[in-house]
Amino acid sequence: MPQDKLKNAAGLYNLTRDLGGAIALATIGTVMNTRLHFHWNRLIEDINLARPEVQHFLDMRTNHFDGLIPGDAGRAALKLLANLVQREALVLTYNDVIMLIGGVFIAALFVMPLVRRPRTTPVSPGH
Amino acid sequence: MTWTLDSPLRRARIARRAQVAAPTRATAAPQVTAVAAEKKAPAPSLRDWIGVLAMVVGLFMAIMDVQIVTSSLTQIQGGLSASPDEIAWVQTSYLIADVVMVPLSGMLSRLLSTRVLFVAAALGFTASSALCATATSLGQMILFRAMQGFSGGAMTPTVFPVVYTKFRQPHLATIMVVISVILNLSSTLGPTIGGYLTDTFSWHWLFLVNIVPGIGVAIAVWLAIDIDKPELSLLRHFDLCGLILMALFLGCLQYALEEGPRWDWLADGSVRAAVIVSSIASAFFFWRVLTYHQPIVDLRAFTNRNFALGSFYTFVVGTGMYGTTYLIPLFLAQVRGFSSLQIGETVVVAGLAQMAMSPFSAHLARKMDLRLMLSCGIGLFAVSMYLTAGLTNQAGFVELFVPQVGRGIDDVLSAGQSDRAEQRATGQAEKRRRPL
Repeated sequence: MPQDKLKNAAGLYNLTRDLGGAIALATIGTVMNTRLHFHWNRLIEDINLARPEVQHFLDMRTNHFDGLIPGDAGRAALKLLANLVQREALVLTYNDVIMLIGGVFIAALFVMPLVRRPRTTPVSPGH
Repeated sequence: MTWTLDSPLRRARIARRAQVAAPTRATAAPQVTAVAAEKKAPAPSLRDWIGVLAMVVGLFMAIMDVQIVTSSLTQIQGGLSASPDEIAWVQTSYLIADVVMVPLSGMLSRLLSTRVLFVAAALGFTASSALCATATSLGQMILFRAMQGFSGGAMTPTVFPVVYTKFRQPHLATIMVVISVILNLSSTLGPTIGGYLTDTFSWHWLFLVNIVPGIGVAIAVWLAIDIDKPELSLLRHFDLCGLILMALFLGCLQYALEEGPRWDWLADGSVRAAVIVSSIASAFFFWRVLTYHQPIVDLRAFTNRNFALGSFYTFVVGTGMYGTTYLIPLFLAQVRGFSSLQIGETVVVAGLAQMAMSPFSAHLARKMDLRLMLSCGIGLFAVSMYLTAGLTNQAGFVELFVPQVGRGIDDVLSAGQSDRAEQRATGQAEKRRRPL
């Protein structure tokens, strides 16, 4: 009798872990999409040509690229700036998601008092 | 003069003696039974160790093969001339097959016996791996990957009943920690090993490497493991309807979870369809397994409180484990532009910390309250997440080292513990049921 309960429980237990993983990855993917969008929008608010720093950055890079690569050096500089913003937005997004996972773990600690004390003497199923 | 035996004096004396004896016996009893239990449960034999370790190798391959293709999808895509969207199916088909098979494995191992199921699964895994390497079209590859997922899903849970039959404390704590380290390592190292194999040889070797160990595992398990007999009578009331409902429910759920984030969930027609099918099938599935006399899985196991809570923690730990296994390599690739080998070198820290920690953890598991230990593990994980959350665009090996060591240590603590707490709860449930 106990053998079949044990087998059933082992299946269910592995299923919970796999589903936990699948749900986590789906949530992470979704949160990353929205947060990336959010951070990107917030970062590019400050990136406009009215600010001298931005203009300076672009000028410097345009000069740098000029002659170094064929084609429009100004466009290359702009592309570089976009990549930088994208990268920083990604970094912020990763940090958000990692904090979220940490938060889930903290929340899980609050359920711990409900767990009954497991017996200290080992029980022997399957006899 | 036998009648004097019944004299009041004698009766009083006997009673007094019994009274004196009673407390002594009561205190002595647990020790005696504990000693007896220890004698009755000898250390697992070499054969048991070989059998279980062979099963663990099978487990390692099954879990690793979920992730092994992730870093090589571009090469496989080229080899099979598929489009980038289609190639994700190489991963998805494995996962769908696996998630359906995992809960079904309980019923199948009763039906066929643990030994037959595991050996069949190991051989199926080997054969489908060989077929994957020969695939010339995407359709073939998806089919063979699904076969691989089915066999992999049958191997994973089957190890646990064997361990619980063959191992007693203190060996049980040791083997459970070994298993959880292997489980974590295989999902952490999967993409790295995969990337390495593809870079050095070709993507075919992702699958070809399984052949020799697969056959070895099948032989070793066949010779060493024999814990139960097949119950072919279960076939008579086999719940095919429940099985179909479960496959629809879990398979479509897995599909939706896998594809949802990329296609903005319900905005995509096929994800929407999967969600609808999964919800309807789940309603019928729950109704079916709770009313049918020989259900395909017995959900009543969750009525045991510690089993339910243990599963909850497994779920949470699974979230963190899979989440970080996925995130950190992705960060290194997207932000730092690391190659798969560099990523491997960075994430291997977590693996090494796990290995270094495991003997200590096995020792602690015998001494400490499991609840406290699980709390420490989960707390440590949260702290290491907090430390990791200060990532910058330059974060590499050094910055990730400390948090990852923390994570690795904690994975061992908490994964090992939730496994064990839960298995114990199962054990208790059995014990309570046994007299009935």
